[in-house]
Amino acid sequence: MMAMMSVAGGSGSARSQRASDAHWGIYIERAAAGEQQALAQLYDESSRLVYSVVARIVGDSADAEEVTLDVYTQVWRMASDYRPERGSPSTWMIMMARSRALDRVRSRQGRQKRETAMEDAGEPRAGGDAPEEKAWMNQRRIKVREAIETLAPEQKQAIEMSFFLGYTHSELAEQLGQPLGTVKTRIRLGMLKLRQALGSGEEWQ
Amino acid sequence: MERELLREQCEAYVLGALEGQERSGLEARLRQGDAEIEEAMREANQMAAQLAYLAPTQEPPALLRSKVMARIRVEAKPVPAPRRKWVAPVGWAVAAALLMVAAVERQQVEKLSADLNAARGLVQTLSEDAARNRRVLQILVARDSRTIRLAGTAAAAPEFRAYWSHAGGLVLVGSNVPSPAVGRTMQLWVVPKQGNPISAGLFSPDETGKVVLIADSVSRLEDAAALAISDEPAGGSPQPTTQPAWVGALGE
Repeated sequence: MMAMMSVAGGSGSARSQRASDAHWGIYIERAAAGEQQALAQLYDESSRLVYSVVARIVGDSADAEEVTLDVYTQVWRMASDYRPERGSPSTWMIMMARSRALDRVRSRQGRQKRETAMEDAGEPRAGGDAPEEKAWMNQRRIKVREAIETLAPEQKQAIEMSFFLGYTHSELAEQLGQPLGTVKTRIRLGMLKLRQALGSGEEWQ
Repeated sequence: MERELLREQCEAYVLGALEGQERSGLEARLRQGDAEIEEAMREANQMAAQLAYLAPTQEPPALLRSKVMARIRVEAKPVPAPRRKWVAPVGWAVAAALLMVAAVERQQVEKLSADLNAARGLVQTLSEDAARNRRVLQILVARDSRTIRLAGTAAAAPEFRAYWSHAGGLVLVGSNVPSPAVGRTMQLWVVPKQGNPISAGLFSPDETGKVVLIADSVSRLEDAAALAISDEPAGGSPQPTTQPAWVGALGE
């Protein structure tokens, strides 16, 4: 635990993420001013992360491509609405991508597909080239995966189902066959552990 | 509300798990501009976003970038009014780096533009090919379509075929046709029963030896005795200057 907190607080990967978020913020600022090349640069540095989240949620490459296209269109349109005081650029984009991906799944086939997508999702694929962006992403991924493994399996399951499938407390209770209070507790304790392991995310900005 | 409970509710909220009165109560406070909730919500978002790194790495499709940029170009974006800068000055080094990035990007945009023009040219060519093929097909399948075989006067010369219909006109088709010499071309002639041959068009085979010539200048063949092909100087001749290399009699 201490090792993780140390990494989150000041390792090279954390600095890289901070630097990336700072750059992404600049790109968003420039995109808000109408600079198309700024969005291109933002795409180059963030698309792997955005596409990965979307693909995990929608579980279909064609849908993932469309949703990712929509995400960057939305980033372009809403760049001037972005407010750093509400979260880092990566948080803004990730949560936007997640939201649009869940919308796509909900409008498409409902829960069945979401569950299939969850089951189909495997281990991270080995990358080919290793640009800097991928290096810090991989380090971040390793840390988050290490952190999630510190959770009890049922806590991990509840949190992942909620994040990637968009389940509410009630839906989780129904799917898992557990009382509502139990599910709430799993999410609450799971997020608490993650927070302790990773920090609030502030250190990564 | 205790801070820890608020934080937990915000985390459940950003995950989409919170519902019912808990959700509506939190949203009501958000709408009121509650600073404590805004801060808790920001932290919860930051925390939840890290879960994205649990997704297996997927490489975006290679063409997706071009699609994104194409869509962005379509978006008519008016230049917004200047707004408050939030990013701290990053220094000349970063500015220089961004200029370099912009230069690279400009090259990419120029290349993309060239690719797009090439693609437009291809679409135009394909479109023209499709129109020509439809025209040929129309002549071939016409009820009154007739075939005229043009035999080579030299040994081993490939045979040409001409197809004629009153509605569609005349088309000449050949394959394995040798290319004319440099500075020379092939010329199709309509040879009337009386009078001099009339030019029906110039052509050269493509790189695979194929010829498809739609002879738009030919509106009738009733008075013709034959079709003929001769080798002529580039640009063609008013009248044949060489003996015909291929001849096909029209007969009745």
